[in-house]
Amino acid sequence: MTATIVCIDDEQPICNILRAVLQKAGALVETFTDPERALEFIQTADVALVVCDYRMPSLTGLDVLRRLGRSLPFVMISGDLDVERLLAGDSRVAAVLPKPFLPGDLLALVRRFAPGL
Amino acid sequence: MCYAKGMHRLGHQGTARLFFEVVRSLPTGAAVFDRDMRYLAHNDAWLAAHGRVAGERLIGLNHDEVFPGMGPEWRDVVTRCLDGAAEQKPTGVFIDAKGRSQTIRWSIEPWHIEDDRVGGLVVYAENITDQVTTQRRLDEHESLIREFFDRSPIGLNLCTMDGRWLESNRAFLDIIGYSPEEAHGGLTYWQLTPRRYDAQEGVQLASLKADKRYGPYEKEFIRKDGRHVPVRLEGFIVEREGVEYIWSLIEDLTAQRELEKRVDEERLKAIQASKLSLLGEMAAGIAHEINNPLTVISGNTYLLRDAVASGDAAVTDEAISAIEEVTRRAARIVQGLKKFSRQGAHDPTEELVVEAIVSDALDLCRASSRTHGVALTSDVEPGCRVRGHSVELSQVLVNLLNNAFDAARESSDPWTRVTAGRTGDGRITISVSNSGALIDDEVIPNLFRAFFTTKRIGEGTGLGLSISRSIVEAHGGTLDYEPDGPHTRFVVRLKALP
Repeated sequence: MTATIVCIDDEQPICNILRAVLQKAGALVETFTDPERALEFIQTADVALVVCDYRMPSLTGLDVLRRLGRSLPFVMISGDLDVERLLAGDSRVAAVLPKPFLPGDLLALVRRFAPGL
Repeated sequence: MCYAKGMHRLGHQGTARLFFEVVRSLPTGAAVFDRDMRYLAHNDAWLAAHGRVAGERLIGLNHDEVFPGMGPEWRDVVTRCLDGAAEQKPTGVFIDAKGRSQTIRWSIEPWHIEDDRVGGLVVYAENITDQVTTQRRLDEHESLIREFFDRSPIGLNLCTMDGRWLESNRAFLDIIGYSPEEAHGGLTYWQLTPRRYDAQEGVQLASLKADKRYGPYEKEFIRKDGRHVPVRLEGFIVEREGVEYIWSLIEDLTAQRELEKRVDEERLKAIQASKLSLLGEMAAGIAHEINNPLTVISGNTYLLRDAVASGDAAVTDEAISAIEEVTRRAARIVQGLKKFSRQGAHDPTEELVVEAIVSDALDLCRASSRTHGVALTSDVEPGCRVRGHSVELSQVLVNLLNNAFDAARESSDPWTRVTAGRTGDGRITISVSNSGALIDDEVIPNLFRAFFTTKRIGEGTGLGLSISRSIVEAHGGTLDYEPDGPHTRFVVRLKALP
């Protein structure tokens, strides 16, 4: 599998974890703490899946989703208590993963959209 | 009253004339009657005493003609005296020619002719109407004052200069719980004064010496049952026959203290309720702040398991460091919450560094600011200190910050800013401003009213600003809405410590 999983979270430690867990499972991973940079990358790269934090200072996860420009599997992660309610019924969001999550749950979810992993 | 004693035996015409002369010159009203109660002599004072015209001559007239309607009692007296008795009537009342009630003090004696027979009567009369009226007024006045003294709800008490109680009213005896006999049987002020008031008493004694008065000040008395009762006292020195005494007014403050205590308890309850409501509002942000570290911990634990098995020291170190860091971060949040949640109102006030108060509040609110997407900045002048309760002042700031986030989040570039520093007048201001729209003019008068809110149901109790203001005021400061140009701003002013 050569397509990249793009991870976006304004907190570097979360990015580090996402990268380490997914890379360990054999994925090609790019992480971004700045969603604008992530959007730029997504325009030019072969992206398999976007894992994105919902609440960030500059843009929300939904802003990123709106600005993707193309249809990509989109997994929203969030520490918000009511994120599932907020995103319920939004068909563009493939899955919601509330923080804190176990790496196993992340991997299981990612494998649904990147079956080769 | 018997001015003519010894001259009552008249047998000689010259003696009689002399007697009549004496009667006429007496300062007290006097008249001489024969056995038929006809006037033989009288003086002007007699006329005056009976309200008659000066110079009127009554000689030869019968007493009953002059004063008709004297009644049977008078007749009995006359009869007894003509039989040789001498009588005094303490007072008698009659209505004078002008219809006024007159009070007369009488004294009646027989006079004798040579063979010891009673020749008639000498009547002395003194008009004591004015004295009686004055006395009655004095009595009424005294009884009014006595009633006021007895029934006053304020304790009233007279004591000697060395504190021995002489006279007390009911209210005072109720305060100290002693009977009048016990209180005035040698009990002293000092026996009922707790020793811890010694210094304060010294000040009052000095004032008594210098200004002849003391108080008002507050202290306690030890009641007979041992209970201490809070009182407010004031008093002054009075002089009676050259001796100085102290009059004191004593007010029982028990009910007032209980009311104050209840108001204080209610205030603390309201502060706590408002704090819980704030915590509820912040819960989402706090959960977000804790969920991120937990995610980092859970991820690194997963990585550690393999790294430890494979002996990958670099990954192990990195994972442990990451876990340590986020654990510290989560712990800080929990500690902040713990500090914020405790009820510190009963603690004594302490010297507080404003930077620390602001930083505690910012730590608690950072999560909310992120949740609302509001940039949070601060600029605090170092070294500013105030006296107070840190938890309560943090609560005020957290409340102002939460309001600011709500107001700012709708703006295009949302920000909230805390500034603090000294002012020229010895005060410290802590301002919270935000990028949100200014508060509507019609809302401003209600801003600090309890239960007033413009927030949606479930987003605020409407107690925050009213409680915040009461907290700041209890610290001797002020909390006001003072827009800064186009920006909403709330300003806390507190007295600066040097």
